[in-house]
Amino acid sequence: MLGQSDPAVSNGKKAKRRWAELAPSWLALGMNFPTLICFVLILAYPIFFAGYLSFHDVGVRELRSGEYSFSGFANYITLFSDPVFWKSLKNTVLFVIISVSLEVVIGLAVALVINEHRIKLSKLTKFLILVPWAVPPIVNGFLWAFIFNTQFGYLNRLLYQMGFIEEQVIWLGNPSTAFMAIVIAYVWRTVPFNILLYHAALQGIPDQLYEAAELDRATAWEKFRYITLPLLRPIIAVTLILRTTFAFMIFDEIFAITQGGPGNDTWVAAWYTYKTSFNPPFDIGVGAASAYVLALIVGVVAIAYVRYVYTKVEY
Amino acid sequence: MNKVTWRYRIFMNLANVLVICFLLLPLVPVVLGAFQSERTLHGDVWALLPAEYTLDNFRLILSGGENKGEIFQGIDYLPNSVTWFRNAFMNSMIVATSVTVLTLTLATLTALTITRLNLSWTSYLMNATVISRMVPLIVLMLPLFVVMRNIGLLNTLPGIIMAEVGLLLPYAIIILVPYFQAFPKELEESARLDGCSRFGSYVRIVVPLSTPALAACGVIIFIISWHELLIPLIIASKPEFMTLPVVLAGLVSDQFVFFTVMMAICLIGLAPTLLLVLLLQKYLVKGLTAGAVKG
Amino acid sequence: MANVSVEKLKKNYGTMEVIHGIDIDIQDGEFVALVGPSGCGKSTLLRMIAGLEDVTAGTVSIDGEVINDIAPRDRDIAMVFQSYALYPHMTVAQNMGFALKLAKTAPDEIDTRIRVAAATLNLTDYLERFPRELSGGQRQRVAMGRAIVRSPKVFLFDEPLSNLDAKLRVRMRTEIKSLHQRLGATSIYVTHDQIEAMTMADRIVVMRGGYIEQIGSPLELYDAPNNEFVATFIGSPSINLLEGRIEKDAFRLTDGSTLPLPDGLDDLDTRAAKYGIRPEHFEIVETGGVATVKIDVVEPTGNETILSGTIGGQEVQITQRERLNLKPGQEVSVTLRLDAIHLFDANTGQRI
Repeated sequence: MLGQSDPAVSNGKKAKRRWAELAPSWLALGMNFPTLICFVLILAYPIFFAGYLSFHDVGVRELRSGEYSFSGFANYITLFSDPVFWKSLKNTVLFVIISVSLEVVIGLAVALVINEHRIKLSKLTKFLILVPWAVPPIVNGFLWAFIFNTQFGYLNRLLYQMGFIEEQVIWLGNPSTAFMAIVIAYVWRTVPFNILLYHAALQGIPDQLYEAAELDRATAWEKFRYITLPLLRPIIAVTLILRTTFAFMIFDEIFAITQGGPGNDTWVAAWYTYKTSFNPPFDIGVGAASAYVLALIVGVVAIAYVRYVYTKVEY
Repeated sequence: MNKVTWRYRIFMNLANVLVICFLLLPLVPVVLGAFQSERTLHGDVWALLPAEYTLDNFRLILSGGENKGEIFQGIDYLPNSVTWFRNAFMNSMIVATSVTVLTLTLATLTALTITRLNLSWTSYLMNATVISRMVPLIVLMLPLFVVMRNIGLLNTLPGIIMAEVGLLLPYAIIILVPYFQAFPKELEESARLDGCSRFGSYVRIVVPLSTPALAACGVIIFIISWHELLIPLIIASKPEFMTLPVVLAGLVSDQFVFFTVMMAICLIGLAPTLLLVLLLQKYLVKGLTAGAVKG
Repeated sequence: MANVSVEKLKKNYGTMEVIHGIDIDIQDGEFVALVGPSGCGKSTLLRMIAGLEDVTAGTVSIDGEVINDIAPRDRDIAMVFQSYALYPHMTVAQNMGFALKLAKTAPDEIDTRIRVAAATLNLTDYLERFPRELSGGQRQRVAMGRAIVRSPKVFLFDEPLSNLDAKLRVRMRTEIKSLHQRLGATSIYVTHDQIEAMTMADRIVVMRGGYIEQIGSPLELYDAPNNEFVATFIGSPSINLLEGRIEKDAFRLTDGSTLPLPDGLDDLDTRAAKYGIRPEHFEIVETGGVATVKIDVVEPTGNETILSGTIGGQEVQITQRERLNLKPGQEVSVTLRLDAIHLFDANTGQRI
């Protein structure tokens, strides 16, 4: 029966109509249709609309009526002459620099620790790495708000029990400690991501390199300096760019821990936009302008990222 | 490389203990806070462990404010967060699940076209995707608010879901693309010769064989959606449509009266994602790594 | 059962043309091998027949019907891939029955067909295993089985043996050939290994750079290569090509010594040419040789001895069936089988 064309089967096949296949471009269009709608409706259109709003006089009344009067650069002028905006921007940049550096340094250190497969405990540590990442940002905010709370916070309790302090320290009432509290909370939540990437990269370094270095009488530091670090450079660059764009958008921790306080000492760019747009007096035009400034800054970093990571390989 | 000196061993173990403390200790206050009463919390402000433990915080929120227990007996005012807690938990579940299913479906379709069909415009789509991934959410919030209002989805769960799908879609595509890229072309071709259409070969061969990748991506999307604050905060202001993060955010002004209740909500809020992370750690690691450096 | 024909077939990738309009006619039941160095377009051609690559110009037809625009799944073609492309999430039986299932064949019919095919390929004991639990040779058989259960019109093979070790490759070669003799199905087989092509095919298509160099039966190609490329590609060790000039009745090598020309080829115009002679067409003689070979290396393989040396300063390889006691550095006298000599134009590479 093998080889002999089975009449029943062949007839069945003959009877079936033969189709030319859908051209790849049409198939792609069909398969991407929902995605394209989402991109346009949720991403592209809103981005342009935000730009549009930033050049118009928009308040609550205009939002209701849907009629916006053109105001030129008025929103941007208001924005740039607002000292709080500049303060927010300065805080944001400072926050980005400090938190991203901490993420890289802590991330590297922890990655090296969990990469040591000869120590059994490293397995447990590796298993727990993503725990902070699992905590919702807003919960993370309240969590650290609790720790840094003056009256009943755990940091004060701990320091008192260890004999470092006699009175309650007002962590969140002081601009610099409040700022650091936000940095710590944020970095704690986000550093697992860096650890993960560095760990993955470390695992990609062949053992033979270290063995060769050993034969060349390299010390542990020299091995790190001349083998590990250069080979991790690409991934460090990736995390630097990626984490920078995300750190620029810090919001949840600010919301939960300080609400921008004390005074406006911990205002950041996203918080500025939120406060101006969604709180009285609802300066939506100015909010849109500030959001756009933030988007431009992030956009520059984003383009650097795309060029760095995604241009080498074609899809 | 082979011998480990005892000094190195001690050093590395200490380092590990330090890292574990760094990872876990910050969570201790939430647990302690959730299981004590407001009075105990303020009673001894120096004690590390509460003098008394209670489940009343959980009783209160799980009963939606009905079961006040001893502690809350005399209290008349209850914040929205407490009365709407159960509802918010359900909303969060509905939103995160729908967002995961929808995002995964759309992202799979798009990632397939980017990787399996050699078309020039889909590579532009990939670039657009990577850039959209980094658009600051705050920029989109205002216009999204207006868009949702115009299409009547403000203060609805579908509105929240739609916005989150749109925002998470790029990330999901970025995670899936390297997986599909590495998928052997011959399997798909073999299926096409065996009687599948191009699309049929995706459905019957590529997708079933990519379940680990889809699982990884799905879990990541679920977690991010579960964590999302800003979108539901702005799109849904009515209590019946609040999600857990919004409920928590609402407590910001009441935290000095209901701090331990807040900690209880926090604990319940972080439990699902923490559980997912610990159970599916292996998949997550792969997905997160792929999403950043394309495998 | 079908004949396949390709007419004026062209393939472009972007602006680059990789197949430049080729014609092949494959008869019903024929086993045709496509050979050539990598990048010659043989795989592309096979994939165009399968429908996995678009046709830029020209036609592919089966049984006279043009199938350019017919989806691969409707072509009734089975293909064995180099990587086997077994579905890792299906058992051997499911792999083999997949196409039949999609064609909505009755389950018990599928079952019998799988059993028959499995018996033919010695896979009966492995039907419930997954591909990852099989050895390379077994996977290869499953890939074959998957093709034969369908009784397709045409079998395509894309270097199916190149992932196997040398020994297994030889065995599978024989098995595929005997399978083809039993089934008698039209088969097109792509390989870069000329021995595979020689041993298995009824006809061989030699390709280079998107053109067909020659089509013919294995021995035709061996005995009468159209050009230098085909001559060197077919045969191992490869044919010796000595550079020089044709001068009236002899071939003058670059160092001035001469080699005899066969009858009928001794009346050509003087021109630069290459003198092709296969290694086995030398005979070592005590006296009366027409040329002297200086031996450099002696490689005994058991059934024959491969001698590397020089004639008139140019490298040659000679194979001899006898076990010879020769030493490097020694000079031997040889005669040539004149009827097996090929002359090629030095510029065009075409046979003279």
